Amino acid sequence: MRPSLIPLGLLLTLATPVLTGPASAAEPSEAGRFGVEGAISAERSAAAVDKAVEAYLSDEALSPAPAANDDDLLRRLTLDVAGRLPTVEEQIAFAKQGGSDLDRRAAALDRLLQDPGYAANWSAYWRDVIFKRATDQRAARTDHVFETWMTEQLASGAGWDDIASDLMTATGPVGENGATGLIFAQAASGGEVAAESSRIFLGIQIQCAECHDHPYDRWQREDFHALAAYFPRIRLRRFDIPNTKTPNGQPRRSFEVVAVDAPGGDREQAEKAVKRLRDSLMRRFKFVDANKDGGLSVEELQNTPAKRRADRILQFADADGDKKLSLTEVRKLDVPPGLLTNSRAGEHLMPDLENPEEPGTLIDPRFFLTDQELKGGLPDDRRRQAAASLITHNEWFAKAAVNRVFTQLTGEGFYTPVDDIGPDRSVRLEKALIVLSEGFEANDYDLRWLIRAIALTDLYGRTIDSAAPEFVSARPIRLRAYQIFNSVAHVAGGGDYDRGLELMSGNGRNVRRRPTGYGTTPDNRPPASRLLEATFGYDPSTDREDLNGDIPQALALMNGQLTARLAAANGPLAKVLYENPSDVHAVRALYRLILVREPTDAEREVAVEHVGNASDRATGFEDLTWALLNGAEFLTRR
Amino acid sequence: MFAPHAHLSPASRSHFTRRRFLRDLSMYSAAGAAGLGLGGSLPFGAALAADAQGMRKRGKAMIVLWMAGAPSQMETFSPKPDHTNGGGTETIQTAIPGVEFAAGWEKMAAAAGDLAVIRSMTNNEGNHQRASYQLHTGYSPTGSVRHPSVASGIVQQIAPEEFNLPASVTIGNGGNNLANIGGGFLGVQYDPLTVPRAGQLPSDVRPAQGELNERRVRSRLSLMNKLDSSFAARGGGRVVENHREIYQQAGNLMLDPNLDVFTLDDEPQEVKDSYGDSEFGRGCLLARRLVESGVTYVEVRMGGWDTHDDNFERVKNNASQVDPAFSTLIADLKSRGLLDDTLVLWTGEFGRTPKVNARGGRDHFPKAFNSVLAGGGVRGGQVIGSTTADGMAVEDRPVKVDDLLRSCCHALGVDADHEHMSPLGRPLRVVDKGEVVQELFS
Repeated sequence: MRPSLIPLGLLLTLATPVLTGPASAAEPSEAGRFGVEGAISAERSAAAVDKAVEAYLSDEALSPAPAANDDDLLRRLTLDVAGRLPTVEEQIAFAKQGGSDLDRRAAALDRLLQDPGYAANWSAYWRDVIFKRATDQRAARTDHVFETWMTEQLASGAGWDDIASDLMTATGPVGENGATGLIFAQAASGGEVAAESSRIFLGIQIQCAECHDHPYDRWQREDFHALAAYFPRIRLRRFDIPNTKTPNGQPRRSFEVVAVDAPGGDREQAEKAVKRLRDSLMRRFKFVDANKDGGLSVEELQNTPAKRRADRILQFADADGDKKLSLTEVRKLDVPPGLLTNSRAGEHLMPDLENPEEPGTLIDPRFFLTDQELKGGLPDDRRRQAAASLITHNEWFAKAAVNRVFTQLTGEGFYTPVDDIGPDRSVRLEKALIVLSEGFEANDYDLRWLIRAIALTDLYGRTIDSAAPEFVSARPIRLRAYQIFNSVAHVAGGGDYDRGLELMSGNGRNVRRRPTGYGTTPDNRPPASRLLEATFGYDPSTDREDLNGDIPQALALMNGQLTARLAAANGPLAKVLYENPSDVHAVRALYRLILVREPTDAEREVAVEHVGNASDRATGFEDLTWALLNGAEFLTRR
Repeated sequence: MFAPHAHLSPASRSHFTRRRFLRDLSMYSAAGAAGLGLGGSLPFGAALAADAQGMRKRGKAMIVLWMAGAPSQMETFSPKPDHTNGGGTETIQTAIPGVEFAAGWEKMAAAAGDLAVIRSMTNNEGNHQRASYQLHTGYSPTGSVRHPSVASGIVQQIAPEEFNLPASVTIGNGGNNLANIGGGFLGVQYDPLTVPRAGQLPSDVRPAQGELNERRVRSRLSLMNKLDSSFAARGGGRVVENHREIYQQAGNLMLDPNLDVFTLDDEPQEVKDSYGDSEFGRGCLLARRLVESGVTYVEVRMGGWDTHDDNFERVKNNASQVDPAFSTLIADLKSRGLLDDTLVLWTGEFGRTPKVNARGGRDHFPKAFNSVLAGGGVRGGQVIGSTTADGMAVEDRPVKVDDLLRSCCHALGVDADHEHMSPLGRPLRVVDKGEVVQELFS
């Protein structure tokens, strides 16, 4: 194999300047508290977490699991950070890397956090957090727009507070501005956007209080509705994309997230509504004029969009005062736009549960965690900025992100489920949570810092055990669809990930560069990746223990095209068999390629025996490749 | 089968996730010691194939005919020939004295003695996606929780245990509006198996390349299991255990001789003809075959009902497919002695405006629409509820979505008040509110 220290060394050199950010370069400051500025190093926070875990284990009379070996640790780090398997070069480099175990881990982490895979992998994670809970399925057609935007944010090192603010305050076309993803996924419904903002950014499930006072929490109905009152003026507006055509000659339609601030609602929309009413009454005049007397009465207007304000419309438009609208009067129809819109639009109304038909009670914005209030009547941008600021400056903002990332990386949460935290929930290892939250905040909510701090803990680097008591060992975690796709690409490329990616996209031929969905942003994901997402994708807020795969996934792996190609004797296997005339060596090479480790003696014996009993060598190794791709380990972060 | 309330305590829910998972597996069946590649020697599904009929006799089943897009009540089962809102649609006499259907539904009119037609369905939701979600789950969609479908609640309670085929199958494609409907927080194991086109095998039950060689499949699975044992010993124990369960079920499905049920090849031509030469007709035929084989819940979907323009021609065309398929399905189930235990529900997500719009179409109208039930102990030959002469409002006996879903549970012997614990520790009933529509069963 090729020596690989040179490219790795180069990588490290290139990466160094970037690493002198607040995370690693600054002097460790005094123990931070919330609100205390200044950087806290990831190493220092990791050590504090270790101490908290150690104290917990000793209280429980438990001892920690041993440290994972190099192969397991590198695979874990690479999957967690960059969402793929380590290349052959990376494996050799890691094995040759000098220094203490922790230094070697830190060096690998720093390199991976600058890998383009980091931003792409975590962007796919946050995409699933948001879109797997979409109540508007049309939003799925723009998830690549979100992914592209999110990847840019993460690659540029934007703070989680800025990202969250952008998601809550976004406006613009859904096909161009990926930050509209959260709002589009909830169909711009104020209540749903408020609920999801609270769930994702604060970890607090305030929407349980939407219909009744919360059964296990302090929140009341008013608390939810006062949060929703920050978001009552967002709308999805449909528009035609200029210079586009669908196959039947119509312009392609899209949506944009807009603010509705004009008194009485969206003036432009209201003006359009007046025009629509005029056109429709003119066109259908004879039809609406049921008694054929040449005029539309209030009764006859009941069957038209004018029904709600028929009286008032008549007042404005009935020039000759005969209590009817003639065709001439309809042609000249011009009424104040406000007449046709709901005059209460723009403020949040809490429904009356006893009388759901009634409009409900007007509620002004108030933030349930701090009781800070905002006066009513403010424009949309002021409201949403206020909400974004209150949410991102709250202590639960840091805790929610820390709980999420910690759960994703260790399989263990301070709170479970990952998105149901808050003052009334029982917390485990609170000291560790606080240390990480303080460090995260002091480092400007830098997600790279957070991953680094958690991945440097002793807990992160231990061997896995699916059944051990909490915080004793690392956990096996099912790979997300993005990681599975990349693992497949790794195998397809014979351990060369980039080559594998090319193969998976048919050397570029299979990538659909045409704009898709609701705008001009191209979807560059290979079709194979989208297919895999459809079969293997899951909501990352699901408890780890509930992620066990399903029958369609098993069938896809057993019988699908991908496995068939990867396991065929003329696929990546061909090179392995050609380069390794001895069965034992070929078994080792296959293990290295697919599972990124050496086989144990027992595994090697089982594999060699199977190959020996097969009708021919190629058949035997096809079976082995199939078995390794289908086995539990390939789909698991170990 | 399981203790229904075992996992309801929020304090201990994390300890029950695994137990719940293992229990839920029973819907696909754990198939016992005759395990695939695990050293068992019994032929796959042999015992099961023999017992499918016996099992079906014990169990109830449900077939939903889902009219995606919302069918017009005026051109189906609530024509208004004496009002301008009727749009000039002609009517025909049904087997129920004094009750008329729209023309184009001649076979259904003749079968009306087996039908209970609810003409007074009423709801507030006029958005396709939200209403489809509500009709399927009993709840309005929200980002905070993915509600399990009512189908999930049904198969959880009444699906047979020892069974290789999936408990719940969806046939056809109803479009994007139904994308997020399935097991919800109960888990993917409650998602239905989807068959995009009736007559074809479900995806990936046969190898993509080459013939299915049962011996080689077994040998590969056996190798995989041996190698997985080593991963189990290295800390992946539970992962391997769950993985094996899933693979065993997938393998059982793959090698089950009953898989032929998905192809319609062995069905006599005259039977195929009577269902009609359409996707929906083949879907209904497959639904009958699946129920006969012991599948508990089948949904056959048909799009094309969102008739904002050209309503009359389009509905006529749809009726030409649904009328033979639906009526033959009932007759076929009846002649096989399956109708008493099989509830058939025909419905869409809402109705359409009584007023005809300028484009000769009808728009969304949730205030009054139709659902039709047959079999499963429902008394046929009756019409429930009515609308005003212009069709604008329910006049008599309003039936809400919850009432309908609760009545379906009742017919199947499913406890609609059974509570599922959501991941947030909030108990949610299979059907939240509503009352059984007693007339259906009296």
